[in-house]
Amino acid sequence: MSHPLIRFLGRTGEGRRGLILAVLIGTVGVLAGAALLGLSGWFIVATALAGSLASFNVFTPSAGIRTFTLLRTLARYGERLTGHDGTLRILAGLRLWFFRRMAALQPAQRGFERSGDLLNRVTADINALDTVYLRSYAPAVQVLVSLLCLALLGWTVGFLPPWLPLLAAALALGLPLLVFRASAAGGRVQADATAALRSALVEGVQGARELAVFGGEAAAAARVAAQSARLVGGSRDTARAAALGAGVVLLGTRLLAVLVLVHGLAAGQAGMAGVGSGLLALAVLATLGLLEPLGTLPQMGQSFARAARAAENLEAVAAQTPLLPEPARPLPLPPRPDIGIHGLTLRHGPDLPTVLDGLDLHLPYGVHAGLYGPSGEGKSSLSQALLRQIPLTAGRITLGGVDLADLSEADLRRGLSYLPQTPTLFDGSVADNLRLAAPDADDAAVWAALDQVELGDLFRARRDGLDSWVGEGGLRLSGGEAKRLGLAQMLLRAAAVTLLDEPTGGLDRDLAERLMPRLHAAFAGRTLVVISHQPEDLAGCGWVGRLQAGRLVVERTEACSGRGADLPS
Amino acid sequence: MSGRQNEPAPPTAVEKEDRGSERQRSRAAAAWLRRQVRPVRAWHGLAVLCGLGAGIATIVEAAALARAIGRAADGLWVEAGRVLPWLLLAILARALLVWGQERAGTEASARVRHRLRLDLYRSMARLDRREEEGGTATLTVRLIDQVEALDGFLSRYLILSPLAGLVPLLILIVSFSQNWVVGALLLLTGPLIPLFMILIGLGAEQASRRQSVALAQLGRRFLDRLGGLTTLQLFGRVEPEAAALTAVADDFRRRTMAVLRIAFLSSTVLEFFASVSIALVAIYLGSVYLGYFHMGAAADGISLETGLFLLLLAPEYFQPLRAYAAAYHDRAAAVAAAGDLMPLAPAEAAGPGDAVPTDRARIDAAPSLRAEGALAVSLRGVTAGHDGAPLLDGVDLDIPPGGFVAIVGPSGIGKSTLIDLLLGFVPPRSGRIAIGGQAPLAARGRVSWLPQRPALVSGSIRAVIARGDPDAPAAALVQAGEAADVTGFAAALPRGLDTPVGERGFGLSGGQLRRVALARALLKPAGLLLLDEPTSDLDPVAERRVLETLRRRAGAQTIVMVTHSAAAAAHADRVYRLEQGRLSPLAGPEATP
Repeated sequence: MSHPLIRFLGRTGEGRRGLILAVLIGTVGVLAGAALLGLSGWFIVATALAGSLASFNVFTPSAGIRTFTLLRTLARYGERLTGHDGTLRILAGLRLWFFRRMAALQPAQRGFERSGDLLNRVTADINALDTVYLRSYAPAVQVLVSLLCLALLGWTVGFLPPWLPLLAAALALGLPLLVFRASAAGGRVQADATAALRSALVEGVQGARELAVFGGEAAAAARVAAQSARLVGGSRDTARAAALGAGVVLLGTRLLAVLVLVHGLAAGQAGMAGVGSGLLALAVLATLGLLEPLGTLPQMGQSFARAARAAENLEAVAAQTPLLPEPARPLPLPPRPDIGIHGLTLRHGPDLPTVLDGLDLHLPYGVHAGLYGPSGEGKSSLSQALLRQIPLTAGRITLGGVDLADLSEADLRRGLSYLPQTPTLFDGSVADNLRLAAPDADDAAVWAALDQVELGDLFRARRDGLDSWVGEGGLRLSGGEAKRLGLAQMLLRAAAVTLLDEPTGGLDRDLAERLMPRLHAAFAGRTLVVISHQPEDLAGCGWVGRLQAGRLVVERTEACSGRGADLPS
Repeated sequence: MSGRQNEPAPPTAVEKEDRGSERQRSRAAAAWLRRQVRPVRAWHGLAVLCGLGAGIATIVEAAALARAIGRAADGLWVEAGRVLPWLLLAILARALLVWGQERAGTEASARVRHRLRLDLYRSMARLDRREEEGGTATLTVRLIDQVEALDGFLSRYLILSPLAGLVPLLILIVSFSQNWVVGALLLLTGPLIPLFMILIGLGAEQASRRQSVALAQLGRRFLDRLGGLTTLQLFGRVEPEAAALTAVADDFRRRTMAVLRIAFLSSTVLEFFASVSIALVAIYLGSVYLGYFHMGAAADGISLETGLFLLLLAPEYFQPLRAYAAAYHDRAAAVAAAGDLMPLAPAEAAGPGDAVPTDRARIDAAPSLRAEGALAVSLRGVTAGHDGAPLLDGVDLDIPPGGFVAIVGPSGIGKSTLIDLLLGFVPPRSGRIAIGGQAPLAARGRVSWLPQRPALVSGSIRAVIARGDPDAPAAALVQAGEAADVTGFAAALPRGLDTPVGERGFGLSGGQLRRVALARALLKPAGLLLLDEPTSDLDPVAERRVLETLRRRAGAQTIVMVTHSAAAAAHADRVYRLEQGRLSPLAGPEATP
């Protein structure tokens, strides 16, 4: 089994190339830096010992020094650029991957709709992953190359014990592990405390007025304080590990350099052939230069710990298998999609009550049906089942005789449209939001739909007209206005079957009574299902049923036979 | 949606003007941040001292290393070995001091973050903002993520920035004492230090600010589309939207890279001078040793030991600057976060509209004060809302003890403001309000309330209801549940009244949640019951049951009910319509349909 972080590398898309390039260029930079330091040291000692121009070739080493200087500078610049480019590509790749993964799931599996925090958390997790490759793989490669060079150096100078590079390797390996373990523990505390703090804050701030009326402000504040202390404590533990890492890396690399010095001194004292002080200076300084990348290891351990947790979180969400996968061999949507419900039973979990109990229903194409009943008695569950968003506990649903499960996603969505209780408005213009429902609608059609729901004048009065921004950072629409915009979407879509969930919620009674007949007229010849807790909304429906205790009671069935017009295919 | 949204557009004249005020804002945010840091000055001082100590240890280390190699070059191998203890001592001290610097910085940061979060929480919980403002996500992002975003600035930047001046200065002095040419070299290559600072500062800050704004936009768009995925799915628009997201991200990357290509030059310049100074020092020393020239050398030349010492110091001279440059984005991130946090902070928060009840703690101390019966309500010339368009404009209202009043009117007209006034959350701009002869704030202990959107709903159904009166016997709790029509649906739940409510619990419908909150409101022993839309989301059967309960309660309790529902209003003794800031009596129960 591979680590999630390694699996995520496969999902980084085009960013990988930039990443590899950044690592390579960065490694060149590190080596050039070490070479610059080592060569400079050797140069000084050698010139000091040579003592005169005649016996010394000054050009080669000084040319080397100049080359390494330039190389190091350019490499750092190149590393930064390619690294940032790669990181941005990785971020885009990861987001796209996650977006597509989530799109394959059912709403309940995503859980975003219920919790905005969850949504924030997954995006934070994705963001935590974008830099991890640069911050952990790059140092890892650089450290590895440096260690190889150290071994090479030892072999070249001759006086270094062979275990010295191994010692360095042990330090390079142990250090991130040390920090990683402490960081991971601190990170777990942080994640835990963050979740608890979040709910304490929501309760304390959003519930502040309720706390004022019902008491318990002091207890709420104490909860916030305790969780904040835990959160800060967790980050303190993580930082403590990083500080220890920084101290240890300094101590370790310097002691290794001292070991090089000691061995050089011993070899020189023993009169070992070829060991001069020039070589000694080169060895010590180059060792210091080569061990420089180890300085990034504590940080690497820290960012690795955070990224590993993020990767696990994301996988836990993304690894779910779609509850209702698309059929392998889809059947086409029939032109007259009668709705058929046969023995439908719904239960959201094994220990939860039955929501719908053996429901049977036949709605011929073209009927306008109304469904009402007490809140929480299965109206929403029924519409979710019709939309193929939840698995059926028992029974089946057909559209024009074809099982819902056999329709392709594209066909199903084309044939069936749905207005939720609280329609989602996207960050964009009014036109953008409406064209989301009907990409080909022209301006005239968009205005006509807005006028139908009595929103036309609101936007005509605005400077930007159809380009008025709604959603976050835009015009703040009230719940009722958002609902009417959703209705306009339904009108533009004009699907064969349209489901409206509480279409008049948040609307004044007068407006609701003007709107409903218009909707019936607009959808004449097509199927309209209105779900409401207000029986008044269902006055224009030819078929009305009441849902109660999981059963359906049909209350009205006038003109319930195929009034539907054939759909253009 | 089309790919042209949220693109960072080329700056217009207006935007350029904005940038000036943006700089002002960011300066104000930085100043505010520094004020937050004051209480931990000792920790920051300690961290800087440790850093300075580590700088000294570095110099000692370089000196010892240079001496060892210098002695070895003279063939004095044993003398060279004698330096080793000094070397080890310097290394040990340096490691310890580096550790101490990080620990002290971390401690300072942890303390500031914790204290700041509690301050912000207290002020946010006190602001009594309307519930629509700032969703859950914004709130937690601010108090959790944005406070944590200050960490880099608090634990690193504030320490590295003085060290970036002090340590190079120290090394410069030492270098000059050894050899003026090398000292001058460092002075010339580095020291344009302040110049570098400005270079890094301007380039990096501008680039990072622009980039973080664009990145945030990109992130918001992703969040927006991901959050609305169900809608995209239902409209069959997942793939077009995925393609648009990719296109926008790609475009963003190209623009960002164009900016970064220039921005990174400033740090590259720093790198270049660091490398060049090592090279120049080495070449200069080599030339002196080879007899090329003698400038800066004493009569007997420069000893190898001195040369090596100077060479080793050269990179250390630039190290603090590099660390500072690397931490620079911490400042930009912190200033951005501070810009959002600052308006929430206690001192700056009190605008004219947000007068803060100061004596809430006192009321909180006696939450379960037993009601001595129904309370009279009286409003005299009450005006509230904004200056230009007051929501309430000289409202007069008298409700006798035990009265049952319904207030109707279109949404957004100020009905909820009226409730806020009666609860003492908002003071009237003018006029007087008395509840049982007391000011609303003082009477709050004897007032109960059903909010439009209950927020305090964690724990089980039973626990939520019990908040109404923690001391109430179990039977009273069940009775309140029955009165609010909670027990009916709760019985169908496997765990009954012990079913957890809220985000992570069993998903109660909106109507069910409101009934639970209504039960809580009914349980509190109060003389005045304020109900904001008690029957919205309820079906007619539940609505009737709830209204009958209220009808029975009237008399023993004064009830003020804000509602859309004609059926609900029909149950009240008196119905008022709120329109254009005025309350007009509609009719008694006999006149309503």
